[in-house]
Amino acid sequence: MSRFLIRRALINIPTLFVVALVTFAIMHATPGGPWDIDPGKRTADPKFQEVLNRRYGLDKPLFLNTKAFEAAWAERANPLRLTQALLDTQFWNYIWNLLHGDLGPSYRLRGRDVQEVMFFPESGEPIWTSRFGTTALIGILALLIAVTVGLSLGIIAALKQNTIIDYTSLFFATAAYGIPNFVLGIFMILIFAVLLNLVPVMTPPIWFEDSHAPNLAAAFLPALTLAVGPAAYLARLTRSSMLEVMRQDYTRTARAKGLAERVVVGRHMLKNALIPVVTVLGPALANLVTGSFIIESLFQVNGIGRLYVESISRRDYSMIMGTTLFYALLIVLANMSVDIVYGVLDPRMRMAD
Amino acid sequence: MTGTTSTTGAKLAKAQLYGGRKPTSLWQDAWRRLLRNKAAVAGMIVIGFFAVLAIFAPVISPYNPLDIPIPGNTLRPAAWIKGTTPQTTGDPRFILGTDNVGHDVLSEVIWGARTSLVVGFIPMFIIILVGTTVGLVAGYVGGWVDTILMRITDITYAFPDLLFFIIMMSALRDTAIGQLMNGLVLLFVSLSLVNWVGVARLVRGQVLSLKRRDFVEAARMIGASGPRIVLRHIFPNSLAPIVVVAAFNIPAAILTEATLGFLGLGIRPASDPKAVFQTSWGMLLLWGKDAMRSQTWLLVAPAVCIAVVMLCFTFIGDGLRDALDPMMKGTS
Repeated sequence: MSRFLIRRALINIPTLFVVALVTFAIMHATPGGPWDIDPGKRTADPKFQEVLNRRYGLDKPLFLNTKAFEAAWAERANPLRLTQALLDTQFWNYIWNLLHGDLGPSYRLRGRDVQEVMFFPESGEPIWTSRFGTTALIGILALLIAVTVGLSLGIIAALKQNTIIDYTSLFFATAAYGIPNFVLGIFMILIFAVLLNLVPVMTPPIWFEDSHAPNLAAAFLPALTLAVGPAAYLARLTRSSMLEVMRQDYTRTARAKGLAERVVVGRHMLKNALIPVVTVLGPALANLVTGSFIIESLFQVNGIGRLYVESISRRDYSMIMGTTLFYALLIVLANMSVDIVYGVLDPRMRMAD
Repeated sequence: MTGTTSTTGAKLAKAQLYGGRKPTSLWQDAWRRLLRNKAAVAGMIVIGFFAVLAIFAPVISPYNPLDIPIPGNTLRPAAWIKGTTPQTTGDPRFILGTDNVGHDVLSEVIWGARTSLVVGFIPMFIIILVGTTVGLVAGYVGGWVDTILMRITDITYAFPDLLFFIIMMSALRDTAIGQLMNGLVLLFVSLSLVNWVGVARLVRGQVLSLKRRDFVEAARMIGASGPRIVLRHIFPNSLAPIVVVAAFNIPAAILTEATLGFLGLGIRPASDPKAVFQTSWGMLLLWGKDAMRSQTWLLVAPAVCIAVVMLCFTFIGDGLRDALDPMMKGTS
């Protein structure tokens, strides 16, 4: 088992490396740079740009520093120095700093580091009010909603198979699964804020300003919007998994020996039916996470997702790299968790690998 | 006289052979099952309606989306809304109202159908073509082709695809390829680059499971060449899952376009009234969302259109999967 775990974890390293490489390459192919006021249109003073570039190491080559390599070669430097000279480039320096837990300075939010912007709040506020904390709060709320609603809908639909309840919940699950979450978010805002006037159109801050406690009322609408898709998926999966279990011999045996319906459903059916459901929680979480940057932009929530979208239009290279890698890491971890859960639940998976 | 007898005889023999029913192919069976699925049929009808809108957009739409029919006639609500002043009352000439420049919203929505459907279908064909070819070769030949394919799929699966689209669209926006057809070409390329991988992996799996079947062995035994085995025996038998995956690729692509448009990274708005693709639903949402409370009509129409089209394609995909399921059993 531990060998399986270690191997499964190691596969992620080259994957994340390629994600970093591709992001870096495409990003630097972009016209415009972090110093432009309005990327692609107005450029900063060239002298000023040059100084900034040198200060942040942006004057170095992107991937391979052949000039420094030739200079070192001429000096007959040792192989270590040669490699260092060759890799004294933007990309490899970034990777080197990354390995030391340093995501670099933000190019647009001057004086702040990327990890500071992502994981630490403005000065003086508690740590959980950071952008990461905000995204996590909404994500966890959404996951809770998705699991509760999805599982109960699926179970009820399966127990009442081929009744109007089943058809209605199945229809809503299909509909909710088919509608993109930001369109759903727009409908939510139109219904709850514009039509019913229940919540303000502009989402209030997720954290109360004085007590720093989470403002669940503000977080509810974005979380609900995020949750609908995964909830529908979970409901469909739970339903079909329950129907499968219902036909099994052990269910019939449990019924035949006169157990109460509550015990049959809870002990014998649910426990077995939930195995496939548990395995998709990882991807569902990944889905929630990547859905977050649209929802955060739509509801104007100050989380990592919104930071990501903003940093792209600002050409904030280090911030784009940091947030992309953060998202990629979450997805990779989510995928890995599925494999591990599978491995725990079904030993055959480990053998097959 | 004898001729008729012999044909009736043949008919009789056939009827006995097939139990009184005409023989139907697997595809005919699947088609019949699909037609029995009410949601899928409704989906196909609605998509057909949108396809007509999209194709005949210049004829159907009352104005060109770039036209400003009446100067200064901005932000007029939908026709049935009665306001207190003439400016806040709807105008029957602009059924869905006008936007903040004075463009007719109904025309914009009709032209948006064009973009969405094209984005749904064209990358799908590229994806299926490339994915199937690579999958067939990788599955049948194996070796290094297969290894490379599997490595690429591993990485693509880990790369958050929306992140990739966002980076591609914002990075290459101002390059030559980013400007072709208002950025549609770049969108096609990005979509295809990511999505062929899933198809290739699926087809490869199909080939691997079919490769050792008796009918393939038999074909090999009577001396059929590799390409012939792949094209005549393996490919037709893996067509059903390919059709299903193609059907689900369409709404995924439409969603991506709408999402990117909503983030301001989709196709660029046309400046030439003669352009084939003028606007997209995602873009209309982006423009409408700033004045959500006061100009609700700017948002409702494109949002409903996206939701309906996505829903219909999901119904069609579900229906196709159910209809083809008997053939897919044990292969996926």
